[in-house]
Amino acid sequence: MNQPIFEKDASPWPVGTDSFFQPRRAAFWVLAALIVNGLFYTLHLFFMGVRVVPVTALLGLVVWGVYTLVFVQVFRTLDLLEQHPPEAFVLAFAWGGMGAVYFSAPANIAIQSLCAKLVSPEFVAVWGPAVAGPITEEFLKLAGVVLLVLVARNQFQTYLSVLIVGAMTGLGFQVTENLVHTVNASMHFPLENQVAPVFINLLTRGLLSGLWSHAAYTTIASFGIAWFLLHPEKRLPVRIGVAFLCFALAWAMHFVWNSPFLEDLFDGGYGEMAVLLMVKGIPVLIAAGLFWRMAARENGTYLHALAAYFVPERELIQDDEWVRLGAPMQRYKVRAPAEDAAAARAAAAHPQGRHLRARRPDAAPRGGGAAAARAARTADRRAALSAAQPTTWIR
Amino acid sequence: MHEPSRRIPYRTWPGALAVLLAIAAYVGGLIFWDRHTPASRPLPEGDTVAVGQARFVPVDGWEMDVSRSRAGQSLMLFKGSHKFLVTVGQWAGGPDGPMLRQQRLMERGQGLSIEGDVSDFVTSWGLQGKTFAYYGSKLAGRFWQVVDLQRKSVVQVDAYGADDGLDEALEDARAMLDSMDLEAPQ
Repeated sequence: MNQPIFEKDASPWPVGTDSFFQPRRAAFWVLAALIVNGLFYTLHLFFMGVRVVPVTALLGLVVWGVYTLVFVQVFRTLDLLEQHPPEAFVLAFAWGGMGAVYFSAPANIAIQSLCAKLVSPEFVAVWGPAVAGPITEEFLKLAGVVLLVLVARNQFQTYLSVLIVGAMTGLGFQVTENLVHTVNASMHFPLENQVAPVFINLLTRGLLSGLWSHAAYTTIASFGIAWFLLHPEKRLPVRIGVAFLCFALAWAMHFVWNSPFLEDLFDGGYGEMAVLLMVKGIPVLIAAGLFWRMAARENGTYLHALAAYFVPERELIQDDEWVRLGAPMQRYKVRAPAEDAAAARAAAAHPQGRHLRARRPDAAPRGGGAAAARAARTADRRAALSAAQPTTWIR
Repeated sequence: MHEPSRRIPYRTWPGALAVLLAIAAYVGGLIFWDRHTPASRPLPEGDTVAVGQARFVPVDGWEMDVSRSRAGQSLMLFKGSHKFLVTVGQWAGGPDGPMLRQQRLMERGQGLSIEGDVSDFVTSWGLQGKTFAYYGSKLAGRFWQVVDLQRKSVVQVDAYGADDGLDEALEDARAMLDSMDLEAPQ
């Protein structure tokens, strides 16, 4: 188990975190302005789709909206949304879906156009998406992550707190791109059917490609930002090198995904296409999973240190609780039944208030944002409890 | 080493400015480079060009715009401000093809107006299809569509440009369409 590693009162500045609404910081306004700019562009594209293929555009909005909610629910289940207040995720998603998309469109077109002029249209037809997409999109998504970190730097105390923002940025990009692609596909669909393109795209871009797409790439690239941010003791070239390596890895995986590698080995059927997508995608998923795992471990160490700082009386925290602080899946296993039981009790006590969600009783402190306040509240509760029932707590 | 987060004041404008400049330099630089790189490719006089299964003989003076042509899918020729775009796609529906969708795209998506009714056309090679004229505030043009039910494909030809010199450009476009057949080797 980790020992307390914070030095109390080592800094003259108060413990706490900034919110993501920072009207006195330039980074906030740059981020907001670019998101609003992208919003107009995205709305323009969407309403053009509504005018030309209305069923596809509206059904696509619903389908990709539900798809987003599924991802968000997975993040929530894994306790990842505890890392930041909701506005951080809204800003990250909006940057990916609007800010980054706005700039990536002309940049991708320019790269493909240059490839056609400098090489040939045949080269673009085969390699255009691999040459243009990865460099442009990874760079632009990551720019939003950097801006978000600048807005509230002290919210990012762990790798995990940066990775989840990166994943949300990638998810925003992925969902908007999928919606735009669905509408475009409908405009060129070989039948006058506006429903089929939505479900074909949901199958190919959502289900068969979604797990190893932008959310995974940006997670990997964001790890470099996190490392740069959280290792100020290292030399600057080393920090830049790690950030660059993570970006290069994300770029390489995106490049391979967009490239025609291995396509000759598979025919055009849906079955073989699914195999091809998995062969190309599973390495990305594994790589992203390894980064998540590394970040989750570091987050556990951070939570242990935080708990030790705010609750120096180690005996006030039970051993199993201490272990769970560093193990998100164990927290989930304990929390899920407890949540269900609490919800059932709440429903029985207040039959008309079922929609009110019971707060989980065994949640870990937040990784970054409200960690201090929450851990302090926990410490107060523990102190009161230990005074009342000393024999059950102290070992 | 982990520390509890502290509210230390800091400036963000240098970082924000750096991000903004990086985006502007990347996107703006690419657009600038693209605009200053010529896209034209001269076509051999009298030779046939092909896109997908469609092939035709370009009229003298027209050049290929490589940046807006996609191998096997589309081919754009241009002469001055006038464009001649041939697009080949799949079509598994009825003989009228995606005509209504194209009109919706032009009218509702691009703000153009359809002039008159859709009419039939037949070329000297026996290609049959439908055509209509359209106009907008800055350009006008004519659109032709040929559906090949056997090959489950659709060929769309779009000739457009500024009003000045459009009649001459449309004459060239009709000549190119007249030379078109759908027998190009795949």
